Amino acid sequence: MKQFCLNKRQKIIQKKAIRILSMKLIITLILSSIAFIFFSSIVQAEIKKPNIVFILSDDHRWNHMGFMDHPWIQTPNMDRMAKEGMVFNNAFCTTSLCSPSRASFVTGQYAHKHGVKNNITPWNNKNVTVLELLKKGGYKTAFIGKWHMPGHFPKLRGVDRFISFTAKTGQGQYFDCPLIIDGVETQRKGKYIGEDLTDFAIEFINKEKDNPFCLYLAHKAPHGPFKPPPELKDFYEDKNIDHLPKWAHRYAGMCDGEIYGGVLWNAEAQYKRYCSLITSLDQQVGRVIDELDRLGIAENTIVIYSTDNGFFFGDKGHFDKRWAYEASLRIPFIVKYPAGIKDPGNQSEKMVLNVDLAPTLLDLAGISVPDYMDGKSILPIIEGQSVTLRDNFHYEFFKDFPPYTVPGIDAVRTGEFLYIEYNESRMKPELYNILKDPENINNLMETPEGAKVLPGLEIQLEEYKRRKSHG
Amino acid sequence: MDNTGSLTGVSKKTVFCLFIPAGIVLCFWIILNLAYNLIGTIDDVSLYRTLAASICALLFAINGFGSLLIYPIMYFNGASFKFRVLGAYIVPLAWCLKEFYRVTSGVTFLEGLFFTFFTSIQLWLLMGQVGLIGISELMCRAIVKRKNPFIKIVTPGPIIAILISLAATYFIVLWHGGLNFHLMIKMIYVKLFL
Repeated sequence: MKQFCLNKRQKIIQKKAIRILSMKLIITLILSSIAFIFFSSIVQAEIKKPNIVFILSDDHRWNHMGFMDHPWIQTPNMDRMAKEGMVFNNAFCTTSLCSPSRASFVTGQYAHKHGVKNNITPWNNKNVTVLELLKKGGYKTAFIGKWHMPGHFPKLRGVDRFISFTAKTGQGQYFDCPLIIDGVETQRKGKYIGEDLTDFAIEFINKEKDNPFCLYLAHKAPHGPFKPPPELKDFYEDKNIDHLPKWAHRYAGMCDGEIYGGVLWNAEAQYKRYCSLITSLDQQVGRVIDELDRLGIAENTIVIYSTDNGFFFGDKGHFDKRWAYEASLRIPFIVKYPAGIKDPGNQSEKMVLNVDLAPTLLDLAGISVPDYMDGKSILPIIEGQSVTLRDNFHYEFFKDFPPYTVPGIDAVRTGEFLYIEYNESRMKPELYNILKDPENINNLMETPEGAKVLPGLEIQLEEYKRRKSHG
Repeated sequence: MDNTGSLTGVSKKTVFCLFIPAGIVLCFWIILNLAYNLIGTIDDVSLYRTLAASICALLFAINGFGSLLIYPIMYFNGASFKFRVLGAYIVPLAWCLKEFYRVTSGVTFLEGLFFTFFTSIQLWLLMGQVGLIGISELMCRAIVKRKNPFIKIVTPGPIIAILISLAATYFIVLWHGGLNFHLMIKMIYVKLFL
C-alpha cells in the first residue's frame, strides 16, 4: 500500500515536472519565433532588392539638356538627376531606329539577334524581355507607354501591368491617345499622353511601393509630329537656332527627298517645338522622382533615363535618325541611385550601350545574366569600380521602308574613330575622327591619317560582321 | 483638247521649238540644284541659310508648280495636248529621276522604281500635275475666249483632271493625315520586296 502511495506521488510529481517543462519549452519556442521574425525582418529590410524605374524617351538628342550646356533648353529635373546621380557621356544605341533600339533595350540583344531589324520586321513573342526575368526574380513589373514594335500587339510575359498604344502603327499621339490597358482598348479623351502615362506610372509605384518593383516607362516625346502641351507650345518662340549646324535651314529636308518639307513645315519652328517637348518630358520625369521622394523609397530606387536613338537637326543636311553619324548614335544616359552611387554628380566617359540596360537591371536585382544577351552590366561603373566594358562597339542598320532610303550599314565606333561601311550600295566607306571632327564632316578615307587607322578598324568590323552572320 | 494651234492662230512649230520653254525651266531647275550643292562650301552660317532657303523655295515652286508656267506657254506656242502634258511633266519627272538616282545608292533598281513612282511624296507630285494641267487648260481657254467667243471653257476633260488630282490629294495626304496611304504602300512594299 505504502509502495502504491509512493508511486502515485512520484507520478504526480513527474506529471507536474513534465507540464512545467512543456510550458517552458512553449514559452522558449514562442520567444525564439518572435526573435527570429524580428531579426529576419531587419535583415530582410537591409537586403531588400532595389526598385527600378527606367524612363525611355524617343529621339532625344543626346546633348539637349540644360546640364549639357545647351544655350536655352530647360530641363531642371534631368539636371537634378545628373547632379544627384551619374551621367554617361559616351552612351550609344546599336541601331539608330526606334523599333530595333527599343527591342535592344528590353532584350539586351542586337537587332540581328532579337529580329526587330527595322520598323517593318515584327517582334517575335519568343523573345525574352528583362521584365520577364525580373518577374521571375520576385519583382512586380509594369510596362507603361510606347511599345512600338512591328507586328501584332505583343503577348508580353512577366508584366503585372501592360499599358501601351493601339497597334496600328504603335506611334500613339500626343492628344487623346487611345491606350490598351491590360488588354482593354480605352479612349483617353482630353488627356495629354506624357501626363497620362506618368499618372499610370505613379499609380503603379504607389501600389507596389512595399515590393521590389520595376517600372518601364516609355514616353512618346519628343518624337514627331512635334506637339507639345498647350502651355509649352510657344515656350521657346523667341529663341534662335544659331547653335545648330548650318544645314539646319527651313528646307533642309530636301536633301532627304522632302520636296514639300520647307513649305508644310518650317524646320526652325519644328525645332523649337521639339525642345518644348523635351521640357514637357522633363516635367514628367520630375513627377516620378518627386513621387519616389515623397514615398521615402528614393534611396533604394535606381532611376535610369535614356532614349532610343539620337536625332539630326540639320547635321549633314538630315532631319531624321537613320544614318550612322554621331548625332543619331549618341543617346542620353543618366542614372540616379542614391544607395549605389558613391560619388553623385560624377560623369563617366565609359562606353555604354542600349543593350547594357537589361544585364544591368538583372545584375542589380541579383539575377544571373543570360549568355544570349549581348550587353554587359554597367553596375560596377555605377558603384564606382574602375572597369572598362569595351573600347569600341558595332553599329548596325538594316534597310527600312523606301521613303527612308538609307542602305544597310555596319559601322565600328571607337573612342576616337567612326568607320562606316554601306551594304549593297554604291556608297563608299567613310571614316571620321570623332575627337577632331564631332560633326563628321571630313571623311578621312584615302588620307594619310585615315590610312594609319583603317586596317585595324576594318579587321574589327569584319569580325563584328562575321559574328552577325552567325547570329 | 488638241486643237490649240488653230484656235490661237499660232503657226505650227517644230517639236524642238515647242519644247524650248520646258527646256528653259528644266535648265533653271538644274542650275538651282547645282547651286544648292555648291553653296554647301560657304562657311558663313547666316549667308548659307539665306541662300539655301531662297534656292529651295524656288526649287519647290518649280517642282510643284512649274507646269502652271510651262503648259500655257506651250499652249500658245501651238503645242499639241500630248506635247503640252509632256512639257508639264518635264520638271517633276526630272525630280523623280534625281530621287531615283539618290535612293538607288541604297536600294535595288526595282525598289528604286517603286519608291520613285508609288511613295507618297512622289505620287502626290505626279498626281498633282494632273490637276494643274486641268487648271492651266481652263486658264488658257479663258484667255483664248477673248479672241474666239465660240470656244467652250469648261468641258469634262479639265474638270475630271482637277477632280482626279483632288481625290489623289485626299487619299495620299489628307486621309488620316496621310497615314493610311503610307501604311498601304508600306504593306505592298513588304509583300514585294521583303
